[in-house]
Amino acid sequence: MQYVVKKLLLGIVLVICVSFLVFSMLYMMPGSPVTLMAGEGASLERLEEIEKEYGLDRPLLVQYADWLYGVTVEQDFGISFKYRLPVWDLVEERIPVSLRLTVITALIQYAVAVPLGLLCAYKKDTIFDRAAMITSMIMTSVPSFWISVLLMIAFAVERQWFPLSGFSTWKHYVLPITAGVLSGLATTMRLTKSEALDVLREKYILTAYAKGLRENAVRCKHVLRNSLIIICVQVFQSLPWLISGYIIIEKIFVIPGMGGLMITSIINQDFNVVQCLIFLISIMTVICNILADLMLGLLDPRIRISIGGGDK
Amino acid sequence: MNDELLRLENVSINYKVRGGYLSAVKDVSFHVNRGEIFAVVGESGCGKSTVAHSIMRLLDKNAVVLGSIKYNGTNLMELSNKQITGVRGHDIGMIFQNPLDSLNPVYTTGAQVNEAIRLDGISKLEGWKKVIELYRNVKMPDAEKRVQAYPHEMSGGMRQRVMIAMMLSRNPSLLIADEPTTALDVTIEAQILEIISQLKKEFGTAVMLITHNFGLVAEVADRVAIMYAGELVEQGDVFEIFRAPKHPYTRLLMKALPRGTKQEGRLQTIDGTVPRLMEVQPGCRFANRCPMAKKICYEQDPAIRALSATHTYRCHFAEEEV
Repeated sequence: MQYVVKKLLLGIVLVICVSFLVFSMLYMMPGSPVTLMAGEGASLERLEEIEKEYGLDRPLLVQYADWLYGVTVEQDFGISFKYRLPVWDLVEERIPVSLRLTVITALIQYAVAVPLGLLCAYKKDTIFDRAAMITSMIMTSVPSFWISVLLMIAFAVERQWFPLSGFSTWKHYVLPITAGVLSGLATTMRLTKSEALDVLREKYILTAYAKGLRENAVRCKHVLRNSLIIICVQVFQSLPWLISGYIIIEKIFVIPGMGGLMITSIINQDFNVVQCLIFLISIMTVICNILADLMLGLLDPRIRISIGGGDK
Repeated sequence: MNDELLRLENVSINYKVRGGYLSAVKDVSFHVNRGEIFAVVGESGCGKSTVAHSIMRLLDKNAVVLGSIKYNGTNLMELSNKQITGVRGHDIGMIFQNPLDSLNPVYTTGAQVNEAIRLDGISKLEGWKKVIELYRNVKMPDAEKRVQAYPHEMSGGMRQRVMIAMMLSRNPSLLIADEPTTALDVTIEAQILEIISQLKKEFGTAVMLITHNFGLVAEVADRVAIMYAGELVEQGDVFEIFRAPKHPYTRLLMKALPRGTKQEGRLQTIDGTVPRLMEVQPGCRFANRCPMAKKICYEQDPAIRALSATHTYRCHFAEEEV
């Protein structure tokens, strides 16, 4: 428990640091949201007026303090310069869309990659192993937007099995999720394979065989169980990455998720929206990391002790 | 012979490596009788562990085993994977060199022992009772509590006791102990050895003890085989070997043992190094380090000479000459 509290406190510090960094980076970025808001050919007075209205003429630190105060005390993320709406209203409806996409992708990805990785380890150096590893490597090396476009051409334009874009029915999700799964497959497969191969070399696997366990029992109870430790940690740590990895795919399939919003907001210099999204993603990263640590403790009794503060 | 439990006949083991074969074990024959402790002695890398693993068919996939390994008359080499699984643990148990990493860190030790017991169709609850009983048999302090302990909560000696308990849980007739005490300190070593010899007395379990420690052999073994560079150079009753070692290697090995409390001068060593086993050459493998090697030693494989029904050695020179 003490461990979790410590981690949480550290996480809060981290999130604040990240938000400050992003805040100053946006501040230093060339161009200003004001010019975009006012439209072309606006007078200098008009620009200053808008700047004052949104409080953009104040020093960086004051602006940041104000923003942080708003977020922490009033749960107010400010107003989007572009949409003239509270940021939270914009973001709120996009969170479930993004989460749904990433969680489903993660589930499918691990459900496919872990068994494949294990099979590759058990059948090391066979044709199956090589074919699977090379295919997955190619899938990963290819940028996800290209896979997305290929999928669109093949299954939405040529065959018309699935709609081209949008997010209203489950059919809309098939292509973006496929693209997401394909792009992340190799990493997980390689991790699973190398982890399983490491475990297979362990002496306790020899012990398990020596006491008379069958091949399958050894593989499930010992090899898989011990490889899962690292894989589970990877699952949690990769979730925030998946969300950022979806930015491009969301854009291509015109899915109104956090990623799509992020890109438009950066282009429009919509500071408050970008700030809010990065704030959320960093919080998620911190939480996922803590969950990964706890998971590790749950799965590995050797680590349980150090997390529990040393009960022995 | 009726009390013969295990017989290895002309066993050679080659590892397929890049650029050819590595001859780890060459033409080894020996047998283990029921209820005896048979020791295999040799320096590191001489193939003694390879022989042990080959009996259980636990060698890596790149190993090629020739010859026959018969347990109770059945050739273990010819069994299907399923059949050999039935032999492991049930007929032949095996404990390994380093108890620190031979237990799975994520399960309690008791659960791992129970996993073996339950292979014989015993219920989980019955199994736990048996685990506690086994822990008592191997003199585990605080047995009831220790069954719930994870491997990392135990010392090396305790973990080796767990291994022994696990491997004896299904009452095998043969226990292969691959350097069971190498990783342990001397006091624990004595305790583990005592447990092993007691088990032999109580349950009639035959033990194939693999070690590089001659002191240990003298203490517990009935018969002994000495291996050098993959060849079995001499075997016989412990008394025969210790009283009159015949093979030059054995004799040098005996001289290299520290004796008594005060040493006169330096401890004897054997000059030279073990030959690379990659290039298969004719001749005696010990020839390059042998003080009495002659031309013939480099040219012809020595034949096995029998001194008595039990004592044999592999050398060109007859007894008188040695």
